[in-house]
Parts: sequence; structure tokens; C-alpha cells
Amino acid sequence: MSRQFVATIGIWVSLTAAAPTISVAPSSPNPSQDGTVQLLWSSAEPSARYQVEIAAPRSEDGYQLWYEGTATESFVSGLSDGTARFRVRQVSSSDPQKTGWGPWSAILEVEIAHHSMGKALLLLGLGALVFVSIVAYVIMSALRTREELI
Amino acid sequence: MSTAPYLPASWGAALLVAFGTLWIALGIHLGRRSKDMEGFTVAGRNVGLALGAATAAATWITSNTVMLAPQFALQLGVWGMLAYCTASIGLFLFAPISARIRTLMPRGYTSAEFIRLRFGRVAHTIFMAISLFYGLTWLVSMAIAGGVLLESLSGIPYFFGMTAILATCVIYTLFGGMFAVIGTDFVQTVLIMFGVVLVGVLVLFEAPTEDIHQTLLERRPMLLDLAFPAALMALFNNLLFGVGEIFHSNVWWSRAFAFREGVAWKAYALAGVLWLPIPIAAGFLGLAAPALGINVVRPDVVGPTVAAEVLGQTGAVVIFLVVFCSLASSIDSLLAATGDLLTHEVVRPLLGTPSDRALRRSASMVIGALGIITWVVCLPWIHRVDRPWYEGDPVGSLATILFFAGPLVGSAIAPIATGLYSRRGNQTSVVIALLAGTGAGLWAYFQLGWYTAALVSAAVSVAVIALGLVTTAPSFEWSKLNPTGRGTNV
Repeated sequence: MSRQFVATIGIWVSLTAAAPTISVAPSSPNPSQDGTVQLLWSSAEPSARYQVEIAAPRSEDGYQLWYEGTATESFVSGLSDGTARFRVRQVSSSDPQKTGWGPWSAILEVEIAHHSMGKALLLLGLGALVFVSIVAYVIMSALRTREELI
Repeated sequence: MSTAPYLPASWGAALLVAFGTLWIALGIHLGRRSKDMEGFTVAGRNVGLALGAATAAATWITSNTVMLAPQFALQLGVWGMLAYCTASIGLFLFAPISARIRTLMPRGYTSAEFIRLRFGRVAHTIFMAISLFYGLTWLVSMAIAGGVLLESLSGIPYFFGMTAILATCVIYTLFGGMFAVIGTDFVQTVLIMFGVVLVGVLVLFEAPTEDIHQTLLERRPMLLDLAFPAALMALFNNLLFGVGEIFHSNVWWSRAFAFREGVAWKAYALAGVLWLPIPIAAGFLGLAAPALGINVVRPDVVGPTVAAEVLGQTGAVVIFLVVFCSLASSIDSLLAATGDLLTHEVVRPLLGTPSDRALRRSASMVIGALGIITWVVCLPWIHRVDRPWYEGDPVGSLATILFFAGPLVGSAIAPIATGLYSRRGNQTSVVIALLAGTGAGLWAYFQLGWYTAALVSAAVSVAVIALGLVTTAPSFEWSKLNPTGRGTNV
């Protein structure tokens, strides 16, 4: 067995045996209250190509491809309440045909728990009240003072 | 990070040099009339409607508009897109207010001057702290955003991109003052509006609305959901954030002072109309990204990413120019307005009764110093641009950084509005409104989310000011706002 063959086997084993890791960025809260997730993934292979899949909350379609390429991050938004699951796998971008896709990573679970509608409507109503008060005050005052509006 | 530049660095450098030279030449040419302090800080108080509307619209089209409007759409969906558009209401509301300012303070220079004359020294000190924090944060965030964006679009190293943008704006603002700022704003507005609308239309051809709707429905359903809680909470927050920014900032007051009599309210109303299509076109890029299959690595670069991915090098050139113009039109305004604030409210009292020439020289030095301070503060980011944005300090996205100022600006809305129209109210109520509003807003920022801070702050401030109005006598004399007695007053 030549040294070159052993090295090739070694690289192949390291690429296919070790799955990449996937996580949520530190600045992205988990659980998420606005349906967004900032995903990160990485592996020891610097030029790897990745597939990221998502099983969205309330979806009956199972895992769906979210992204395929060499990027190591993705911003996910618009998710509904529930548990979103993500997984990633990699292939060497230098010779993908030869090595094939490696195993899937451990599954990352992110809780999506939107604010309650009660809280949202309360703030919406408060915002509307403040806005209408300011608009009414400015317009009525401007008309009253009748400055350069004419 | 993950994406290669869309333009060769040589193209980026050529565009940067060409337009940087154009802005400097134009600014210095237009600024020849800035011989005295009146010319330098308020453009001789004689700016007409066309220039006035263009400068207000251009200043409001910041890098934040180009980057944040698409982020709002991508993160908060259809409501988010609408929420960003409500920022135009600040311009509409400031139309009558600017006319009032022009009438009450015909020889005025700054927003802080109004607070000092209307409410007193303590309120003035707090207001100055708010204004300077807001102004410097905005200035620094735009210089950083410019450096990062130019690097991601063209591969120009962050250090050179950030330095070139800042140096260009400092040079022409320093020599040309408000004349240069307003004149360059006019040209920049035309380029920005043309560029953003062109990109929006071209992307629409690539991703028809049916495709966008179907993709969002399948993959990001909440973006189309009218009962999206965070988006509903953000709607009035963004509106009030924009109103607070415009009501308190000297960027807008200095223009009110600079406009010819009778022009101010028309210019601001027209600017609101001119500005409105920009966030719609820019926000559309955020909604189109999923349908186009574009991986968005971070939410605040979705707009430039979509434009460059879909339109290739042509799109990258257009976005490069739009970003450069929008950065320049805002950075120059901030340099001039913050420079005025410091010159009139800090340097002038220190100099006693300086001559016009000495004050003019001081104003130039303040602008130069502001530019250097901003550059120094922006330098540490040179070590961060090669790393993922979430590493290091947990600074978050552009939205979370910008809206950190929400509690400050939200608290200033009621004091400014009532202070201009009512003879009631006093320093105590204004100080409590500014402090309590800011405190409540900061609580909301951390406990509820960045999309609630300005709203909560404004609500608390309005309540305090309303109480102050009903418990005080109408004792203020409007003539105190025009201590020299020159010009018209009520």
C-alpha cells in the first residue's frame, strides 16, 4: 500500500467520518421571539461545501434543503411557533464526486416562541395612541398659530 | 466570511476616486459663498425649495435606508416593510414644525439653543448629551458600514474605504459648510433615487411577485402573516423612532434655519414624498431574497447582496454608487450639524464674544476634529471585518445598534413639539420626561426587544409632558427665543 494511497484514505476518512457542527450565533436569542435564527456551522475542512436542512415548525414535509454552498452562516426568518430543527453535512469542495456527502451533524433545535398577541396589540395600541396624540397636537397647534402655512 | 467581492478592487477604487473627487470639487465650488458664519452654518438662510427638498430627502436616505429597509422586510415581513416606510411621517410632521422654528427663531442656529432658551441649562445639558450621543453614534455607524460595504462589494480593504469616505466628506464640508452639504445633496439625491428604483425594478423582473409570495408562504410564513407579533410591535416603534430622530436632531433644525422664509414646510413635505419610494424599492429586495435562492449571511446586508447577486457587476456598480452617495449625503450633514452644535453651544461660550472670522475658523476646526475622532473610533473595526460579524462583542445587527438610540430620541419628541407651540411646561417636566422616557425605553429594549424601545420611551415622555402642561401656567414669552430681536418673531 503506497503512502499516497494511505494519505488519500486518511483524508477521505477525516472528511466523511467527522460531521460539521451547527449552532446558533451568540447574539441570536434561543428561544426566538421574532421567528429569526442566526445559524452558524463549521468543520475542520477549510474548503468544504455544505448542505443545511431545516424541519420547520408546523411543517409536515420533514427536512427540506435550506442552503447548499460554501458559506458558513445563514440568517433564517419568518418561522412560526414551535421547534425548528436544523442539520448540516459537508463534502470536500475540491473533489466532491470522489468523497461524497458526509454524515449529518447532530440536530440543532431552536424554540420559536413569538410574543403573545395580547402584548403585541397592547404595544400597537399604545403606539397608535401616542402617534395620533402627537399628530393631532402638531396639526392643531400649527393651524392655531397660522404661521407660514398660508 | 463567505462571499467573494462582486467587483474587482480596481473598479471600486476607480469609482471611489472619481466620485470622491467629484464631491470634493463640487463641494468646494459651491462652498465659495461660505465666507462668514451665516454662510457656513446656515447657507445664508436663503435655500430655495428644490435644493431644500433634495437636501432633506438625501439626508434621510442614509446607508441605514439602503441596508435597514431590506432587513426590516426580511426580518419582519410585510409589516416590517410598511414600518420602515412610516419613517417618512417624521418629515411630513416636521414640515409645520420647521416653519414654526423659522418664525420663532429667525436668527437661530441649533436645536440645543432652543432647549436652552426655552427650558434652561439643566434640560440643555441633558439634551446636548442625547444629541451628541445620537449624532456620534450615527456618524460612526455610517463610516463603519461604508467601510464594510465597500469591502464586501469591491474588495477595497476596510481601512481605505472607510478612510476615503470620511476624508471626502470632511474635506468638502470643512471648506464649503452648509452650501457644500446642500449642493452635493441635490446631486446625490438624483443618483440615489435613480439607482434604488432601477435595482428594485430589475430585481422584480428576476423574481416575479407570484414566486416571491409562494416562496415566503412555504418557507417563511410569518413574513406574510398579518398577526406577526414582533412586526406589529415594530410598526409604531419605527415611526416614532423616525419622528424622534428628526424632531430633536440638529441635522434637521439647521436646515430649517437655512431655508428661505416660507420654504421650510414645503421643502420637508416634498422631501417626505420624494423619500417614500426608496424604502419600498429597497425593502422589496429583502422580500425577494428567499425566492431568488440567495443565502443571506446577515440580515443587514440583504439589500446589497441581492442587488449584486442578481444583477452581477452592473448591480454591484449601481449599489456601490447608491451606498457611496447615501453615506456621503448623511455623513456631511452630520458633520455640519454636529459641528454647529459644538461650535455654538460649547466653543462659542468658551471664547466669550468671538469675531465672525474666529467663529468661522473654530467651526472648521471642530468639523476637522469630529472627522478625526470618528476615524479613530472606526479604526478598531479593521480587526473585525475579516471575522464573522457575531464574533467578539455581541453587537448584533445594524438594526439592534441603531435602535439602541431609540430610547433617547423617543423621549425628545414631546418636549420639542410642546415647547414650540405651548407657553406652558417647564424645565422640571422636560428633564423628567427625557430621563424617565430614556429609562423606560432602555428597559423595553432589553426586556421586550429592540423594536419596542422608541415607542415605550415616547409614550412615557408624552405622559410626563402632558402632566406638565396641565399643571403649569402659560408663562413663557416667545420673544426669549429671539434674544437679538432681529428678524421676525411672533
